[in-house]
Amino acid sequence: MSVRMELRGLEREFSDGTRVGPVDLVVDRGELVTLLGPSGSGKTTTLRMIAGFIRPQEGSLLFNGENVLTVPPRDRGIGMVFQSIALFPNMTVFQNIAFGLDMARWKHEDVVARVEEMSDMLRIRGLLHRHINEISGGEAQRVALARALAKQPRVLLLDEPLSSLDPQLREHLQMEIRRVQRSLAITTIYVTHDQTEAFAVSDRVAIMNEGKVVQIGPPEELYESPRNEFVARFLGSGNVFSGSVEEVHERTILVRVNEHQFEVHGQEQVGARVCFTVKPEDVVVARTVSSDAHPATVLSVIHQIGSHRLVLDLDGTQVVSLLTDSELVRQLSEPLGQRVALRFDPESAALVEPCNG
Amino acid sequence: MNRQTLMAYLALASPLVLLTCFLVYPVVDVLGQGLFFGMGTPFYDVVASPVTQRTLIFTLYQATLSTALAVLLGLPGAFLIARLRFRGKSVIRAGMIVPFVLPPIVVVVGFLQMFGAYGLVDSLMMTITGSPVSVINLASGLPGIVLAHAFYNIPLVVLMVSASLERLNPEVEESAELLGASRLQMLRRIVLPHILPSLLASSVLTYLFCFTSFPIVLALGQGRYVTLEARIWYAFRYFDYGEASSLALIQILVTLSLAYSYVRLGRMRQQGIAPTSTMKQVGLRELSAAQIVLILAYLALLAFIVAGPIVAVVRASVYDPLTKSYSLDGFGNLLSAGTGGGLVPLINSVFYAAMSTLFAVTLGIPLAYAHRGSKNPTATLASTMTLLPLGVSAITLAYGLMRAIVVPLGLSANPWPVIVVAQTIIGLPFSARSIEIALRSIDPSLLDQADLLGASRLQKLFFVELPLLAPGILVGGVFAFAMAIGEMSATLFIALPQNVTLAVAIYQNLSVRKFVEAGAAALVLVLVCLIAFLAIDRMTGRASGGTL
Amino acid sequence: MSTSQYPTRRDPRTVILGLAVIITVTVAAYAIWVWPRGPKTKLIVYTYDSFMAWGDEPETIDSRVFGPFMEQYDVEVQIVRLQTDANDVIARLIAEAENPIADVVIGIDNILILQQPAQSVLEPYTPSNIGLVNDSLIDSLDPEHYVTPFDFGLVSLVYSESKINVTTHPELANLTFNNLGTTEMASSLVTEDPHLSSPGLAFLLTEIAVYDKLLKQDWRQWWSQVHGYVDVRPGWTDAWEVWSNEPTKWFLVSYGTDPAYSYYLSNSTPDTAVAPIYNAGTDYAWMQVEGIGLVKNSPNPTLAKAFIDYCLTSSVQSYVAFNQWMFPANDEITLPAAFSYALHVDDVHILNTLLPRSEIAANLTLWLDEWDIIFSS
Repeated sequence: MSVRMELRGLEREFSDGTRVGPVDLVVDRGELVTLLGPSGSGKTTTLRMIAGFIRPQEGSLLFNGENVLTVPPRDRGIGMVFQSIALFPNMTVFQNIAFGLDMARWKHEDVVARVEEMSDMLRIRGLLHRHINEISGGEAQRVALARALAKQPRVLLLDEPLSSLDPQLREHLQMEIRRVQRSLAITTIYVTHDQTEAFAVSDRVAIMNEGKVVQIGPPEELYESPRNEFVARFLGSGNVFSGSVEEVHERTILVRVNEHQFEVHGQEQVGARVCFTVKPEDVVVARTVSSDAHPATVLSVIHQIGSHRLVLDLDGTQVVSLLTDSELVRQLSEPLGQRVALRFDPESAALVEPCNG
Repeated sequence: MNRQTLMAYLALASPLVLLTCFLVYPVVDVLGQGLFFGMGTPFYDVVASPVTQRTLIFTLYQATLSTALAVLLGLPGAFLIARLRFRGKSVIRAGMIVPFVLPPIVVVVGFLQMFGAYGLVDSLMMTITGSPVSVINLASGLPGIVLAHAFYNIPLVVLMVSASLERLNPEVEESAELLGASRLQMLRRIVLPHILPSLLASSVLTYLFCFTSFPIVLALGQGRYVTLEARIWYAFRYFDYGEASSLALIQILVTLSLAYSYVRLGRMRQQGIAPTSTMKQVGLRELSAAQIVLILAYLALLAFIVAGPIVAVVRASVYDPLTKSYSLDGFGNLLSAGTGGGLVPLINSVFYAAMSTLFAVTLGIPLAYAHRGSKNPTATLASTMTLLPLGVSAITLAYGLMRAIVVPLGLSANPWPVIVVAQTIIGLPFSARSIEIALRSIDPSLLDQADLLGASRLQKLFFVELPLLAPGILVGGVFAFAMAIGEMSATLFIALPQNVTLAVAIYQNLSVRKFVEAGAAALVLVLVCLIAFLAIDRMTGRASGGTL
Repeated sequence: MSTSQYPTRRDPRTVILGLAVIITVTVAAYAIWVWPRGPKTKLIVYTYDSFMAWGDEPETIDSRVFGPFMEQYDVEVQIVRLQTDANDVIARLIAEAENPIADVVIGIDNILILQQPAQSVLEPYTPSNIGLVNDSLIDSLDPEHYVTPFDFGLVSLVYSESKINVTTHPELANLTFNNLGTTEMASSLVTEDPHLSSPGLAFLLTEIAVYDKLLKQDWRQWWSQVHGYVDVRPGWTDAWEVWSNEPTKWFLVSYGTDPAYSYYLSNSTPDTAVAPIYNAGTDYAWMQVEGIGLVKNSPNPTLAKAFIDYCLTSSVQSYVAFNQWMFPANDEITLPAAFSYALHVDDVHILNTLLPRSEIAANLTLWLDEWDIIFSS
């Protein structure tokens, strides 16, 4: 049922000059890939190109090797959930879910059976008789999903489906979506700008920026090894430093960043401009200075659940550190502006490319 | 081009074809005949004639005054309807639309009975001042004309502007308030820009109606005031087709430019539209005493101007000035089936109006779709052509239809289909506009979803679009019905006695001094429209005038 | 779960079909109901809306008057009262000129026939029994016989005796335009728009005839004097209503038979009296003659001619007095008693003789324009 989807060089330029693509992406059967990126990065456009509402000017779109660009949306076998959910307001839940089946002129008994099946799967069985304006946001989401899946589409597209819901509901539904998607093993593309959400549901995540896919891979990989500065910043995986290589050792290099010299895991040539990231949780903060520690000033403390974020000033560069030692954090909070020492393990630092210096 | 797209093109084209065949062609035919082949005054002479110029200037002038008065008096009403919560609002709203659809002849009668010498107002004044002669006569001369026009059109302004007001997102106002804007500033900077498009649009429509007005001007103008349309009638009656056509051409040019500006203005309306679930409204209790007094004073004035003549119609239906007594004969006559009796005109009225409403709505749907696409020149053309019926001289259209359609098609002995066509054309602007507005509020993602889920064009139309358009269709249909049932000019000329409608019957009865019969027919007309509007208001639960 | 719990969707095609069927049936029913019936030959007569409508039983008047003709010739006669006046009847005939369906037209008056378009849709015909009509009447209407006189009347000022009478206003006995020129009198006058109403036009022509031909003065003078005071209404009914309702309106431009009608209704001395225009010892009035004519290229010309002949006989003419409140063209008809109160042709000098047809034809539009100019100033 489900397909292997290939986007090859899909490209589209709009009349106001904005450009999306070329986008290259391969999605395996039954895989859930998320397009993640800031607003305007081209995720929704890419999704709509896959759906067929926007015609790309270049490139091809293959479902199981077959180019579907010339096929109209209704024949591509796609189920889609829009950001606005778009349930038909003049119909009941049943009629909404049954819509695609009715249009295809299924026999009534089959329609009923399938709708009941879908509503069981999404746990909305009791809502079938209700009118659309009588259900809550979370229920509407599930109805939309049921409707999209009723016809057993080859591909499922989800455009920021949970953005209008509150965090608890969102978390809950993320798991629902994942569960359903896995049980049906349907190839899915998910679009969101929320990194946590992306990481929660996806098999792989494709980070998009300015119309192109910047990096794609399983969530952990992206987080651990961001390929460039943008990804690093976007995923919050860390502080980004840039400097030039002064010394090369066996497995590490010494990089000069302003007045400081940092030891970083990796190999580069002497004199090369490099950038590296350090995750906040790998930045160690102490009150006393030691030889391999660098002095910095505490700018602000942000308390989060289970951890604390410290923003430090290292001679003009902001460095974020994540601490779990509440006592230490308390001492550092009052007063702000105390001098501390920060250091990190060379192994925790990862080189990124490209480097903007 | 596949079959589906072909069907779509055909559907879109059908209303335009109708308008071309039954509006553009007959009018062009008549004008062409008059201008190029006919006897009578040549075009140049007509234009150069000082009488023409003076008439044109007067026509423009009185239309301006009337529009100004209508807007001035209507604006406060718009605010009241939009912002004040009170009972019976839907009845008032329904009642407001009635003057708009009355045949002008009924308006004249009502107006004279209410505001004329020895009318209700005058009698009141005479009793108060103890004067034996007429004290006040508002129904004559330029003041009378302007007042009568205002009566006709205040509802238009009130309903259109109040609907726009109701759609103003309350959060916009609240933000402004929080940011420190005073009431005056809010009015100037937030409210006024928001209602400007509907205000301008209603002004243009009002201007169009006043510009082509004719029976009111003649009846109240007492020979001193003549509009372009009146002169066209004069010319027709004396068979000076050259003059008639020249004047009609001038008239069309003016109305075309007005229609065009209306179309452009209509495209401006989009900003700050909120789903109308929340509305900033106040109850009566929340107002200060001074405000309440002002409001009551205004309402009294409005009631006077708008409801007064309707009351006069009611009175006219039972009071026979010939015998100076009250009688229900008028209604008896209405139900009798004899010639001159009311049953035939009643059936005709209802049948023609129902048919033309059906057509107006069916054709209004593709026309509404054709209007979309703001940069598309065909869309602008379609929109402008739709408004044309409102601005073309009625006698020109009637005569044109007779010449170009009825006679060639051999319908002279049985011309009722053409009457239905004429009434459809008049209702079309309203149904198309109403549906178009409803169309705009459809969430496009619903349509995309329908597409994705495999709906064919017909299925999408039937299961998704039409149910969502239903309020717009209903409202448009009711307006089309009202316009059709009140239509008189074309029917007057084309109909044979067996095709006579209520509106024409009123006219006929009046000309043989059958006042109660005329009054009764007028009352039935008013009641039919009132009921229809009330029903619609209840059904849609919202501003039915909003989809103007 | 039973499937009946969930309603099925209707197929759009069946709905459309159903609607189409309903509409077709309704339209067909109506069309059949209105379809002009008649296996018999039908003679169609166009006339104005108030034709023969002023009598006691207007619903049956057609069968009473024209029944004998229908029986004699075994045809159906359909009197089509168009909901307009005579001018628009002509307009309709012009529109139908390519394919006329009417055979006869009644109601074309002596002014209307002067206009070429009116003549263009008629076929001259002299009825075989034309001798029943006075020659002078024929000449006043149309010596070329496009139309034959059917009935005639006099247009004159009428007044209500309860409002003013000879006692309060002695000048009423010999009313001149001069008398009417005072502010008080002019404000009490209600007339009709000459563009739209035949009595209104007749009054204008009366004034022109008196000033231009009798007094040898500029006819525009009087109008210039009174235009700010005279009440001009679009039509006769509107004028009548105003005159009837307002105590300050004394004079109405109307028909000389009004007193007779008033007598007939109240069965007592009428309240309405006539005041024809007086000048140098004679009363004057304008005569309006209505004619019946043969439509050019009519479907049934022979029948139409027979019908016109029939209309001149007493079978029709005897109904004119009571149902038109005009004088029958057939001068052998005895007039009802009520008509003793009407203004008779013998009582006045007919102004039509002063204003020849050719002069009217040439100047009518000019006169109307001048009138417009005076009134709009």
